[in-house]
Amino acid sequence: MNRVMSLLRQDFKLLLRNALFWVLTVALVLIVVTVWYLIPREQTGFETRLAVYGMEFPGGGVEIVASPGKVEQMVREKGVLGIVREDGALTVVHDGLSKQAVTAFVAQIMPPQTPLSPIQIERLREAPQPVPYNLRFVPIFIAFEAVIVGFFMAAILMLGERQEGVLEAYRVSPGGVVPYVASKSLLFAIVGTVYALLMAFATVGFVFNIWQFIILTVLGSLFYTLLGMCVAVFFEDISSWFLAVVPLWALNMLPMISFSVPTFSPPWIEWIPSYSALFAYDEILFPTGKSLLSVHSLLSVETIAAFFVCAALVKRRLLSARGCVS
Amino acid sequence: MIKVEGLYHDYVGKGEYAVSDVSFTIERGEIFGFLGPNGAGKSTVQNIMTGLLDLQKGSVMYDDLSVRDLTPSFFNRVGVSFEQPNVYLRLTGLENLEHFAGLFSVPTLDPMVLLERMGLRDEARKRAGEYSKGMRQRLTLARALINQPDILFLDEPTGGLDPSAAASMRDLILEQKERGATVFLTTHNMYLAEELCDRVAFLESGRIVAMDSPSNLKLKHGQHAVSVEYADHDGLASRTFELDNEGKQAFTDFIAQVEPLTIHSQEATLEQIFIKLTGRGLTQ
Ligand SMILES: Nc1ncnc2c1ncn2[C@@H]1O[C@H](COP(=O)(O)OP(=O)(O)O)[C@@H](O)[C@H]1O
Ligand SMILES: [Mg+2]
Repeated sequence: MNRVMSLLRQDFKLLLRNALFWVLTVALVLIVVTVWYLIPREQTGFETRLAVYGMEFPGGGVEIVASPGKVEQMVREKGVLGIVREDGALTVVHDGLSKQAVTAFVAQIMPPQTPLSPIQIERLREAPQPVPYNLRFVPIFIAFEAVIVGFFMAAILMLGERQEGVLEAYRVSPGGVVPYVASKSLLFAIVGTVYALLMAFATVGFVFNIWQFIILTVLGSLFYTLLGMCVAVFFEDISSWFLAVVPLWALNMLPMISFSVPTFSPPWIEWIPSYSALFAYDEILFPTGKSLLSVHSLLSVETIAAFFVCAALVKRRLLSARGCVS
Repeated sequence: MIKVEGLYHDYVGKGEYAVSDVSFTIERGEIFGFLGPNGAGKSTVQNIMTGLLDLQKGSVMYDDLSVRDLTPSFFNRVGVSFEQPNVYLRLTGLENLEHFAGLFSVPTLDPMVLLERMGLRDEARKRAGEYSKGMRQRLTLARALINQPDILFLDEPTGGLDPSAAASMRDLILEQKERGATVFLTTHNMYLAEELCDRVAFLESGRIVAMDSPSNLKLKHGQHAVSVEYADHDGLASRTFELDNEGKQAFTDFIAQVEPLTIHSQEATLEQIFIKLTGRGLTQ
């Protein structure tokens, strides 16, 4: 444990003396500024207030959608009112209006000649307060900035050590593989959590489940740090490594599209860990009552597996005898 | 005891050996010198012994423990100084030592005391990136000493040092021996080897060509000579005679003819012996 603490202090100092770390920190500040000052609190311009399926509907703010399911989804996610016309029946889908309000609404919108087969009113579960437009992006920023710091910085520290030749000195010390991997993982679990909490506090405020947030961030940061090291061991220097991680990084960003455009959700995308992390942050910051147990347990399993893979790779490729000493 | 036997190493995998059939033993508490010109294979042998390079052929045993089976905790007893200084350039000298010391589970020396000893006290809080090559070399050596190792590997410890720093390095290595450490000293500096080593091995093109104590090597291979300084018409002149049969006769004849001012016996240096054995010098 002393060993890990000694390494941790060393890695922390090296991190503070690395220019890229400060670039990432400035990015964090810029993100908070963006959320507050550059993204409007209300989405302006065309905004859907009514989602309709199965009939024509004149007027502004109306979106005709392709399926009844989509109507429900929009009611749930955007807090609009929905109308489904199916087999002559008319269903009003809402997420928490009084019966009188709905009846008044129906009377208002229905042309007089509409054959009034019974109107069903389907009330979805209680919807939360609508999330201000600028804050909807916060989960994206946290999942793709704070959690990713370790992915890049651990690799950069590691490749720096490789280039300076100090790993040879480490290999002839009692240090060992596990403390080496553990100190870097721990460092970025801490740094990632501090970053993520600062971003959340500075944007959303303090009213969310902080413990769930911390668990998710620690696991996510650990996982991405370990993943970053797993990749970095295959490279000798920072420039060749960088070429290889940019595509990986882009791939990892794909779930962002699913988050903004719900129709983009190919089945494989859920396998990208940032996907579940992203939706879990959304749920923690703007709760709708979904359980996060499965996300947390899957991420735990992935993190433990990543630790073993990373330790094995570091031992094999970084810390054991080779045909030549670099 | 460290026992190295039948060591070969091929870097490229084409049957060209950087090191061939190298065998030697080092007794506990001994300073063992590995002497040879650049490219002879000295660092290769040290790196195989410390486990940095894999053991392709042959064996390296620490008492009954093979280098293949070393565990991290073994390195509590070992110190290694590298030919190329390798320290964290973004950490200060002091931080480099403090964090390295934190890896050991045996008592370690006070980093500041060690830095002072290395003449780095005033630079202790400067980043190693601002150090000269010689200062980094001294820091690398300080790091090797921090755990008071039983077994010390020193690869060209005087490389990049000025003569006075090299002299204090020599004292430092002797102190390690007095402390009871076993030292494997790799160098192409024959004076250092001559002064420090209990035994030396001459390495040339990856092979050991001679191995003994410096005095035995001189006895076996050295030619003894005398040099005579005498007064000439133009002032002071000198002449050297090798003490073989011919030379002895020439020397006595010469003495009878001139007015000798001084007569010195000359011992062969390790360098001369190396040249005699290999046909090449140590420094080229
Ligand atoms: N990484 C390497 N790859 C290929 N050849 C190497 C490597 N390192 C050393 N050599 C070769 O091995 C031989 C011995 O080198 P080395 O052990 O460094 O010698 P010394 O330490 O005595 O100067 C040299 O011919 C050198 O060119
Ligand atoms: Mg060498």
